[in-house]
Amino acid sequence: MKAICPGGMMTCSSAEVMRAAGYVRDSVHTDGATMASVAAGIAAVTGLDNVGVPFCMTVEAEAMGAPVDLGSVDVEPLVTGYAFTSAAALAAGCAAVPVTDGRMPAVIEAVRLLSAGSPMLITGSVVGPVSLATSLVEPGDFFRAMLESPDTAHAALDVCTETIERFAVALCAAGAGVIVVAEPSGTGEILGPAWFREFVAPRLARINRAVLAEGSEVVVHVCGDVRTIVDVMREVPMTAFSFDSLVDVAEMRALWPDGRFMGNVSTALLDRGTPERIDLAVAGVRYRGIDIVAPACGIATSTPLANVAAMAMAAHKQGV
Amino acid sequence: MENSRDDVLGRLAVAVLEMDQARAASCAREALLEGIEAYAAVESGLARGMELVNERFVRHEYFIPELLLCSDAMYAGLDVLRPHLRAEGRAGVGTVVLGVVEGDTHDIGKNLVRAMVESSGARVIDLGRNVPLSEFVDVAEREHADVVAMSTLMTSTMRGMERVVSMIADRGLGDRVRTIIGGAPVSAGFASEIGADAYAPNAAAAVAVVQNMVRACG
Repeated sequence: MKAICPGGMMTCSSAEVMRAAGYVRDSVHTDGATMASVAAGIAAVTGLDNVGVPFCMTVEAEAMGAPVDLGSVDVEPLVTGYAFTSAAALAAGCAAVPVTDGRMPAVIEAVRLLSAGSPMLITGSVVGPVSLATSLVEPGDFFRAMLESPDTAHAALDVCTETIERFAVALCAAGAGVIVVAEPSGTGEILGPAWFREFVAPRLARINRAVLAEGSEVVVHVCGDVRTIVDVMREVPMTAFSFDSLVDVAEMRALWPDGRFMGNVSTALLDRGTPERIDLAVAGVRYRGIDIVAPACGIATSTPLANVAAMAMAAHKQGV
Repeated sequence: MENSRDDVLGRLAVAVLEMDQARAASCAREALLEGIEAYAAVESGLARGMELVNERFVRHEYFIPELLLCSDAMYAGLDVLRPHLRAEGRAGVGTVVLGVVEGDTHDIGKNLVRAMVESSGARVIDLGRNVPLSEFVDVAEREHADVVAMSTLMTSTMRGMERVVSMIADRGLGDRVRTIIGGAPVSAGFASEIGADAYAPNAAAAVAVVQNMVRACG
């Protein structure tokens, strides 16, 4: 069985892993060659079955004008300001162009280099439409707009979706075998299932269809309690679904018998647990119905390398 | 008279529940005109309204966008009442220092906690988001805070809370300042592991805990 850290929201951001993999401040996020070399390094030191880029979830927002602090080995890159003053301003804005805007060219170059240099599975990570919109407009203001002027919110989300779709397609063209779309902000828990169905699901479907048309696979991760949106997600074309460890895999399996699930190893356990406990946890999620082992959410920068390696090793012990 | 009093406070609560800022402000003014104490208008109008909001949230009838607009309405009412609270000498029932820890800018949960705690009558010093860890301790010491409340939405930043708790102890404030944490990745177990005094899963729970802490600090 495979164990992966897809990159993006679920990047292997452990400082110990990053240092061992050859972390170079800033250029790890800005230079395609460094990004590719660190991604390969992460796989080498942990035994994970993929190389995943980028190592943050700020690429799309920066390409659309948001200021970003690239952080350090202990602090992930962070959007520090809003590119648009309102949902209406975002709705009137332009989608990013992957070959020129921000660090998108660097991520595409990293995928191209990885694709040329190694037979490993390459995962390209992108953010979901509400996560991008709420990185570009103050989230409270964006959520207020969803209630008060839904047409404007829809138009703003369309601009975000266009950016994400273009970036995902460019990553596929460069050699990414899997795209992982992470949507921590536009969830059933934050927006409610009715709004998830109206605002989020059709846009995830649009991005996924574009990826599948490129011949790549696509995984969607949604944070929070996803049990209320299973009916909606089942209609969204995708290869696999990933969700938080607060949701029991067996319960999801009962709700979605033919779904393919990725995850669901607790990131608290990865941070604070022992390799022995992680070995048991991987066997547990496998038994409860996981198809691909991965962290259930974003991992802590304090996560020990030995624990990530233990997750990979435990998955490999599980057979196919 | 009593009926009219209940009526205006009830309408103030409903204005909050129905996310109507203008109506919340006008009901608050009406309450003052009827001679209702500002403190009573906060407690039986605004705070009651936020309780009703929370009931809807728990029943999955309201979600985060609704909570934000309800808290906007609550603030519209509070802005009217606040000057009168001071005149009544009721402002500042306990001091709470609040913020999102360094490395994280997700502040909706923190803002909802602020709305609930302010509607309960406490003085809130909101440090905002991406707050340097030492600032929580510096401000708590300078402002004689009773409670330090920290939030984060990210696994990658939750360890910062542990550093704040230990800085509070190192500064000799451990007896006086209680700590409470919240946010998606943290839990009651994590709170006890890092030595925080409490955890709250949502804003309504946070206000109940903070009120108890403030009373205990008396």
